[in-house]
Amino acid sequence: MLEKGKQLLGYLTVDERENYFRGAALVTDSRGIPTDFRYTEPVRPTKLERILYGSALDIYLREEIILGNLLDAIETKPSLWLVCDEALMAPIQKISRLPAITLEQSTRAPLETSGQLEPTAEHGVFVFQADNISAPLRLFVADENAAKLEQLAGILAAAAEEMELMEPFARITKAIEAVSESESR
Amino acid sequence: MACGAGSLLSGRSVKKFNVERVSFRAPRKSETKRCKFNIGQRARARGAISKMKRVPHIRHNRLAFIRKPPKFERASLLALYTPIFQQKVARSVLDKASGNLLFWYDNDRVKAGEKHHLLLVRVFGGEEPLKWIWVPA
Repeated sequence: MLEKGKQLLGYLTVDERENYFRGAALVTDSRGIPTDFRYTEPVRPTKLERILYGSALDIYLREEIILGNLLDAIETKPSLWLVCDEALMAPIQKISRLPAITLEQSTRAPLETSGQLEPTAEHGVFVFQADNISAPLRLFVADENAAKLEQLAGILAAAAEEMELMEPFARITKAIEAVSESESR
Repeated sequence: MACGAGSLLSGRSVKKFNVERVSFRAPRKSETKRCKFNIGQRARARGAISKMKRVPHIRHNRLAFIRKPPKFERASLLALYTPIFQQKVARSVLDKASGNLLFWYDNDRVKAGEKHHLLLVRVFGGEEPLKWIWVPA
């Protein structure tokens, strides 16, 4: 799945708002055009469930239930999963057996060349220049994918030539809003 | 204070009550309720690719990141949106509040063509003060 060429990128989010947990997964081609999109119905644990599950409820819901259901349902498998929440990386990799990377906006000065990675003082965290006309991103990779980092960064840099890497996260939010509106009617 | 009648002290006055009127309900046989935990079933994954395709793509103004901005005569560059596959764009809208460009790709157009930058230029003294220019990326 990591061969160069036309790659698919996977975007995954799990949010909790007003005690409702909801997740969504979007797979796009290298131009950002969606090829698969799944979302979970919002789940609100009951008071009894909160008491019985205790502190494990959050992890159980996010990792086993929401991620498990989303990754099971996705039919188009991406080359890698991108998340904004570092805590999702390990369960995604465990369930999907595909590499997961955390990407976030950064306020650092741009690096010299596209595809460039610069290590930071934080373990596993790099500054990544996806293309020549944007701010660099904060990239976090888990130890098990450290050896593949150059390859993964290459996929991201190739995609960044044809799309904005972080933009699909905003589209997921908008799509979820549209779904919620149509459900509440 | 034997059975049959009783009294309760309430402030200064003594209120009398009839014990016969007080009845107790014997506890019923205890019942065990079974709670169903079906969080997993409640968080089913649904597909909505058609809804997602209706959500516009977003491009931020990247003018601040151009190392050597192009110079125009009697015009200045206001915004640069990139990368966009011009031939695949069905509709586009400038969100004036955020400065972001929203656009929809026509997914049925098989040919994507070349990717482009889209420039927004202010023209000084022209009939139209703003001009959109496509430039191959």
